[in-house]
Amino acid sequence: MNTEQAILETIRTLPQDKQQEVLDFAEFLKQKTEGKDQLKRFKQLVENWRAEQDPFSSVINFDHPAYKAIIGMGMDAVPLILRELQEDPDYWFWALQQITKENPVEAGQEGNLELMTLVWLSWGEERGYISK
Amino acid sequence: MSDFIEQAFPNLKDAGYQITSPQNRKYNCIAWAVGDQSRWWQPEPSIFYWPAGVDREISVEAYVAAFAAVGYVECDGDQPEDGCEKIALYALNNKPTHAARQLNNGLWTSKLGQVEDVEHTLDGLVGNKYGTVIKFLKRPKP
Repeated sequence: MNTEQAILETIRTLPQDKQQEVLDFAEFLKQKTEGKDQLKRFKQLVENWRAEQDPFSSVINFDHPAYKAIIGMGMDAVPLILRELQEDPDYWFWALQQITKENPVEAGQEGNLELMTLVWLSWGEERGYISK
Repeated sequence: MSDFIEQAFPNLKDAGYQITSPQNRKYNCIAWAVGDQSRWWQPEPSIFYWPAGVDREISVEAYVAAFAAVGYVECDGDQPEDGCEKIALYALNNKPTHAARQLNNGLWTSKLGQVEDVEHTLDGLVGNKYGTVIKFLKRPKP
């Protein structure tokens, strides 16, 4: 009997409410594993984008495969981007705008890394994506 | 002195230069040239600061118009002028790449992309990365 069969056999012996608990726990483990994979991928994309930018350029380039891939992660990337902003502020506001279709930054705050970071972190806290 | 910087700008090594700030991403050379240390000036996308009414494009005309929005007019040459501050605009293949601001001692100060500020000669930054100086602009000192 392999592991999968052993798990199924054991679960079959449990009452129905306990079977549901096992299912819930399995779902929790699955999400945790997927979350770790997503974080790893996100961090790799951040590193690629930073490493492949010209550090001497006066223009920040968002037309880069890694930055676009982060946008492509959709709403799953939002808490990861916000945590990245907390740790090491950078120009993630374009990605946040593209994903969420929102822009909490007010006229006059454009280009101000410190202010825009505060505004987006506050936006994320209000919506429960991150905690303070 | 920095090998990293000298590899990108080989002229700096012979011409001499000084690093005058730590690295930061808060402002770029365009902002630094006009005396703004709080914002990153870039035509697009719209998350960056760019003066209202100026074309959001990377062209010499748009950059000159952006400088004009804060009081600069085109002028001749790099000679210091009493009562004026000057900017040198670099371009490569007719696309703006960099701006530097003249200091009282006749040398120039630049923010290099997302890294440090440096004090340098104009020729120090000429090369494959920023191209050459194509315009000078000036405005009265505040």
